[in-house]
Amino acid sequence: MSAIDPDSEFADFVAHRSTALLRTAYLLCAGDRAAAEDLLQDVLERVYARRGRVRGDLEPYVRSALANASANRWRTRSRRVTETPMDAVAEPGVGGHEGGVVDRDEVTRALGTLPARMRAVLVLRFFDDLSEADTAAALGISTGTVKSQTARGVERLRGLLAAPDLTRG
Amino acid sequence: METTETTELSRVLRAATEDIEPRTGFAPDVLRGGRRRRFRRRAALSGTLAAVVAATGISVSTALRGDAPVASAPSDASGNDRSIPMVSAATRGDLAGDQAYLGAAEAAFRAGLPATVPDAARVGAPHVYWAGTTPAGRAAVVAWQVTSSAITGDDGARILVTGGTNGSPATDLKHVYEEARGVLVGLVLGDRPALIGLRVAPGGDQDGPAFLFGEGDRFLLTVNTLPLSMSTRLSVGPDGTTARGWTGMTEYDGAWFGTMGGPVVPGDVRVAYRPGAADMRNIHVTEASGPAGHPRLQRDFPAPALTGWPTDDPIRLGGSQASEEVAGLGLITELAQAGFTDPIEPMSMPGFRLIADVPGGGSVIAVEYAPDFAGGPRLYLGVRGLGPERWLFCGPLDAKAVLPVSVLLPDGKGRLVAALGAQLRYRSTVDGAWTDAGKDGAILPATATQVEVTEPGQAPQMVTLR
Repeated sequence: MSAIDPDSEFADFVAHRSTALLRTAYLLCAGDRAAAEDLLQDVLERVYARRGRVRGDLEPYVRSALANASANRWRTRSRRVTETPMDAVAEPGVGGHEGGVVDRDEVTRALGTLPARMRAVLVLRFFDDLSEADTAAALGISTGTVKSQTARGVERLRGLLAAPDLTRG
Repeated sequence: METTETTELSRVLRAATEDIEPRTGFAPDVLRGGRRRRFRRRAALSGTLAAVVAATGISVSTALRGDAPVASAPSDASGNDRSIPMVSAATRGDLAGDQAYLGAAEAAFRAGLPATVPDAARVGAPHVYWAGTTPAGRAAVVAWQVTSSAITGDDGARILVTGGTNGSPATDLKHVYEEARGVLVGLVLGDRPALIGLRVAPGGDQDGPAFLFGEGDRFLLTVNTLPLSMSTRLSVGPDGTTARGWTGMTEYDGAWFGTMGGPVVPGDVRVAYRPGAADMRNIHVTEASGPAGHPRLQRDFPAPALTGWPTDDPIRLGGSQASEEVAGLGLITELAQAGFTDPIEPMSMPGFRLIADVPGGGSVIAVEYAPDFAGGPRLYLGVRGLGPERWLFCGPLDAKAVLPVSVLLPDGKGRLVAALGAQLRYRSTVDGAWTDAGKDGAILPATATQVEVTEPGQAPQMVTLR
């Protein structure tokens, strides 16, 4: 029986989970694709160095680290010039159901207007499907704060996005 | 919030990301970067230790813990993890050879441990990391590795150890997600030693906690291979910016000791290696009890007393929908950038937030925040859309004042006033007519000179504005 190579195990994790994690990072960065890749790469590199200390699934740990890093990335963000890649211009809308279309830019722009912590709460709750307790633990805040931030975040998004889309059942 | 609504939100978020894929070569880049970081970190640690040895002659007999997985860490005869110096390094201090005292210290540590740390969570045996004679008497620092694997909270989260304030267990559960292992570090004091303080050092890091102990919290003791300094208070200048003065601690062969020059507020005491430098390390200060008391377990200082106004959600005057932050960075981060928070381990929770739109454009947010324990809550004003976005210091906050919040806005844009629950009126001349300003708070014209505050069931009180 060969010993498990920690590098190959981690490489396997990165290879298989990067897409899902990048999507979380993309929302946490409010649609800034380059920032999302930077954020995810930074977090994964740090986790690589600490992986021996992470017991259990790596993914919840990484998601928690992503959410916290995104909420605290003011140092780099303040120096970053927001860019809109050419290939992101005039992308087709997403959704496309009969009730109306919520444009991707509209979604990410709306997320971008929220405080970083509130955005992280919404992404963890509704994109990563974490419970209120897990979201609170991941972000180091109380479940009460998760509830209030969720309620206010949804309320804010309702006002920012086309109302029929968010209230449609 | 309706389920259908949140379901739709989930769908919208997923749809917005469905074609997001990592760039080609992302995974190899991560591995290369991770290896590079680990190499740099180890090189930095080796360099730091070499510098310490060269500068002080301190012998570092054990390597710092690396990144090896728990399962592969070698153990000594007691079953202690050799990669964790706190539970495996040779005992230091002038009492290191006093086997009777070491035995008594270990026994005191075992006897003082709370039942909330289950046997299954303990690894190996207690280890006396340091034992010596200090100005506070004979003392020892004893460590015992624990693992979180055996402890699971009600919500399924891993819990490393339980411990409440004032030694009452099970009231203050600590969820530890980042570390699979930790070390209980206890301070044992006296000729007939007793455990007086206990804390978890996450992950078995080489930095143990700093124990504040003795009558009036006069003494400070911690163990570390690096030279440490202590700061007893935070000073807040007239403009609200903060600063700390530092005093070098005295070394007792691996332990660092400090004596307070006068009364201190325990929560304001800080210990650090190279404070202010890029490689600064903050050493967590924990308050131990007196020798006659019970050990204080995982003792965290309670948050500073605030006014008591609601803190969960901001108070929005006039239905303002403005953000809680000025620059979208998080309140504490923004206050830190403005120089208003403690440079070392700042308080993380603000008090009330009062948000109002300014007539003519822009908005303000008044935030209650206590940067330290000694000075109590203070008021800060975030300004948006009125010139440059910025934070201003408004001074101490007196919750018992008739009108606790009364702040002139920049550029004569008005005055923010607030008294939660009260009806407010104002006027701009001494004998002028009163104008209703609504309930809780408002932005008044800058020319307002008097505010009438009427608490429910109380007679109106008049406040002259200055």
